[in-house]
Amino acid sequence: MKDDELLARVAEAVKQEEESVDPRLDAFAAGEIDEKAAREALSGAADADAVLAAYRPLDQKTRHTIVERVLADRPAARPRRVLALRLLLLGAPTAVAVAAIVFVALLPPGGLPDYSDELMAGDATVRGTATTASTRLHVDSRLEWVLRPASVSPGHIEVQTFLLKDGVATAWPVTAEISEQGSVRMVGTARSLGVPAGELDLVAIVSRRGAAPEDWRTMVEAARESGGVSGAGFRLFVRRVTVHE
Amino acid sequence: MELSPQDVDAALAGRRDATRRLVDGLTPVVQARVARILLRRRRAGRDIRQDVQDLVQDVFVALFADAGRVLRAWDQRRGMSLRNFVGLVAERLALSRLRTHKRNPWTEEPVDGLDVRQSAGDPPEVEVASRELVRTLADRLREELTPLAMHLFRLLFIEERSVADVCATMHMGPDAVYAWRSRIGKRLRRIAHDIGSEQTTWEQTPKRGRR
Repeated sequence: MKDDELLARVAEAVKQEEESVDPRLDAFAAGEIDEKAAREALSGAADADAVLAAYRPLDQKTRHTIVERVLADRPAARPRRVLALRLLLLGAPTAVAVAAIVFVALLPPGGLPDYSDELMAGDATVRGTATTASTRLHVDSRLEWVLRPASVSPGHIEVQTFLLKDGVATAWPVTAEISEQGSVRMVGTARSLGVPAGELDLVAIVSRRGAAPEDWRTMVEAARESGGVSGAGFRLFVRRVTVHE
Repeated sequence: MELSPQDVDAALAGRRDATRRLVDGLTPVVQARVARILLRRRRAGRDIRQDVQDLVQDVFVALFADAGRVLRAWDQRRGMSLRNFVGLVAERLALSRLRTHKRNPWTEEPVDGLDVRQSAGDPPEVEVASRELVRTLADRLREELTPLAMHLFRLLFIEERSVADVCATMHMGPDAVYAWRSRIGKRLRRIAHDIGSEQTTWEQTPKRGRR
């Protein structure tokens, strides 16, 4: 058999295999048609269940697993070890009632340096000594939260902020100042910053452009317990506060 | 969802949102190609859903491995969409896994033969043997050719497009296309020879089964 004849037969075999699959199954995998329509495409085939199982679109959880595995396999995307270290809360009785300083020593992923956060609440009545403790402050007390890089961080930095109350997350539209060195600062009173009364978590994610995780809520507990978590190009900080009127 | 070279660059740079976008955008084609390969070669008793999921994941890992070497090979100027490119990578990996049994104990036992036209006068068993050999050849070729070479194979031999047309599509000169054509032919011949060594009947069977 000559090369051309062999090539033609192999090409025909590939073509027939491709044509043996109803294009509606591809549409099913892409989520463009529903399972009922896909089943119709199989017109009662004996192995319809297996075919549908193979083509049924992979769910978000599976895709998330893929993303995490890809990022984890990349040297720049490996989760960094949180090494240390928290210095917490010295309560100065007046001006700075509570100061929480948390250093999170991190290897720099994605070009983002180590960051530490410092929460200052101008209400001296209650102070916390651990990251998981709630810091109490009056609604008109000064509230200042600063996230500082361990070294100058050239390049674009962005910050996302959220409020997490009773398990419900809402965007926290606070104005965050970002310095040229990469520091992030939010300052005002609880009221002016739009922090409502009650106990809730303040969440801030510092990241390179687009590197903030969408699934940050799964990291909140770890952030509370360890003073912050890091990922590929982002740092996540969580502080619990109780605002009273 | 349109995916651009910029999306690929951003994902390769380790950006989470870009990686997610790429995975979301490419998962359907990867899944469909993997499903097609597995379904046609499946055996009873396997959880096909699980096998598809595992292979889809492996395809993405392969795309990004070694600083994204495979993904970086995609060149939009060659007239191949990213989805098509990644689909070819998925087929290649799936076929490789099936053959080597590294991760998957599926066999190459055909469930349903390809519908190759049967020539009058050929004993049925000869034709079946020929179909199976052709299919084995096709699998092995798809497994060995790079996505670029496989795309050329498609244009030249499956779609039977003219060299001039292929030149225009792939932004290649005629000499390069002819060189690829020759290279693919030689590769196929070598695969046939290898399979012949493995199965010993190759040298005779195609002749007996010739239409």
